[in-house]
Amino acid sequence: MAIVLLRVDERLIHGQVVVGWGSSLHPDRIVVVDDELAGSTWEQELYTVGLPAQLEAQFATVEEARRALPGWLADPARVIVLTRDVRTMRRLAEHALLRGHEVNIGGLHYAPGRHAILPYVYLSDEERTEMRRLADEGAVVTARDLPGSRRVDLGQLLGRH
Amino acid sequence: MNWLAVALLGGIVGLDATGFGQLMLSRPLIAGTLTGVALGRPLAGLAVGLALEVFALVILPVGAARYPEVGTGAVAAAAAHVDAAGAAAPAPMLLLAVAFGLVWETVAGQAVILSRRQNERLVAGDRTLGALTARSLERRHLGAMSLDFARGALVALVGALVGSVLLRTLAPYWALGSVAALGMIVVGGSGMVGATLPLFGGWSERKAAFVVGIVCGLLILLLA
Amino acid sequence: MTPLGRGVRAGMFLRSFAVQGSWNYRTLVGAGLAFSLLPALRAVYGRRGERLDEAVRRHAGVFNSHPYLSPMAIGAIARLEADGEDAAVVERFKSAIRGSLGTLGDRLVWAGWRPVCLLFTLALLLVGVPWWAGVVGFLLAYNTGHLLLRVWSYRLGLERGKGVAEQLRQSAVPRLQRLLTVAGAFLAGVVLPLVASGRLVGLRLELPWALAAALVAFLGARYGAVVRRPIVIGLVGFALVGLFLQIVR
Repeated sequence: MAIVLLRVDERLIHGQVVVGWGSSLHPDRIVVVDDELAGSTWEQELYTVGLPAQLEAQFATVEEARRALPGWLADPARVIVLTRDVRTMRRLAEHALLRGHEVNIGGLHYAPGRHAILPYVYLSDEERTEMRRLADEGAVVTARDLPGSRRVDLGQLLGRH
Repeated sequence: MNWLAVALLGGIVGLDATGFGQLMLSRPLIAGTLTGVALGRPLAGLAVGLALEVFALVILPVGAARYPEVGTGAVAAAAAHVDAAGAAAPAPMLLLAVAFGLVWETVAGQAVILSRRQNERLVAGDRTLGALTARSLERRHLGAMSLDFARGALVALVGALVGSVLLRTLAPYWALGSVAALGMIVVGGSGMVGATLPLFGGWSERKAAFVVGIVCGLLILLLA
Repeated sequence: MTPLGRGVRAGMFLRSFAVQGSWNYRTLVGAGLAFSLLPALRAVYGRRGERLDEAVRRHAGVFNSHPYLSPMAIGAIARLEADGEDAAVVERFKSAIRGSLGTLGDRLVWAGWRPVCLLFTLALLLVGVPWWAGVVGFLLAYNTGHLLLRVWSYRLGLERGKGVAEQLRQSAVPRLQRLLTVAGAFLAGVVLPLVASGRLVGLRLELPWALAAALVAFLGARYGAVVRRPIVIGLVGFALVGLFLQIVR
């Protein structure tokens, strides 16, 4: 398997992913799955400014990503897949496409209507439902901000608050 | 000791670290030396500042990580060092001042966490965020900065007081001689200078520059 | 489209020094960003009133940036607001820029310019430059770079708005960052023998001590910042043991 990390993080490409996870997973490519970003060059340029030269960035819509996913899994290149919210990841996972894969919840920050679950995870009621649906599609949902920190499983995430 | 000067410096240094400016008055080297100047013994402040600086080089204020607050720690340690001077031989005094500074930095770091939680209530509480106005935001933001200044002043002042008492009472009991006291600072400090290499890319990427540097440093030692 | 007058531009620049003034774990520097933007928001939405307050609330949400590069974000957001850009687009700009400015600033300043200036100052002080020259020289040199970065990034933001990324990529920043890491590794090498020989404490140490110092320095260079905790605990522990021995006697 060449998808080394599937992560939900509203900051998308940033230090924790590039340096924090990057230095232990040694990815070749970061794929951002987001319908809006996939068509917006100016935003893509901003997101990729801080990226080291050896790391390639790619932006895809959910549909494109679903078609390309089997290819990424077979490809020897090491890929990190990012979405900015749980809903996009759930859409990516539909029809059990991500069955058995771990989905990492890495950074959903404070916003009105969201409640604190962990210092780096705030969830609204809708997001809790999406998370359950993501698990129903067969994905293993866990939260962890950095490779060295503790893994929190779905039961604990939804049980709190 | 001029307590007012210590408190004032602590406040300025505490604010400079994050809240306002980041002009690096909050580096242990600068904060320690300024404390020495304020108390009339610049070189005593410099000695503590130099050692604590070497220990602070690898601490990066990245993201929401939690780290010791080296600036106010250095003010407290330098003030204690100046104030207790003469109570014992200079070498153990320096070791104890440095050791105290390293401990007080982590105490100061805890105070920073508390003040950041307080800021959360001030500017980012559930009800606050929905009801902010231009004027209330300005008031709350400036209020947070005033509290941060007060925090720095308090932490430096209490640290200077506690450190001074500890140094006066304990330093005369030092049992291992001057060379061991200073040698320990040197051994630890060397480790910390070495630890900056990975910051710049590590041995694999920067060995040439690092080795040339060591040769230059050795040449300076031989020629001086 | 609202012009941003000289007073407004100067006001935002000065306020950007306080962008981290209410740093908190929930919105990070969100309130500081709104605080820094206020001169522009007042120019666009009026001195007071519900439209101004609504804009303040919009900008007081989560934001993060390296403090020295925050003027770029502040300038660009002010530009977008002044041009009457849609609030949703401004929000998307903020989401896109915040990770990049953090990563860029951390690498350029916290792991580059700052340790390079500090190591250079340490080297000067350890070869006998007077304390006041070292301290004043450091503050002047470091802050010259610091202020240039703030001014440059502020201008870039004000002029380019959404298009800052293209300029950033073509700028000297990536090359500068590389140069700083080479200088840093060199200076770490220069400072190491000066520290290990005992100059750090104004003493010429015997060979066994210097060898011990070299060994610990090797471990530091190999494992990096993680050695700090054991070294600090070792130093404090040694100090306590040295006191304890005499007290029990």
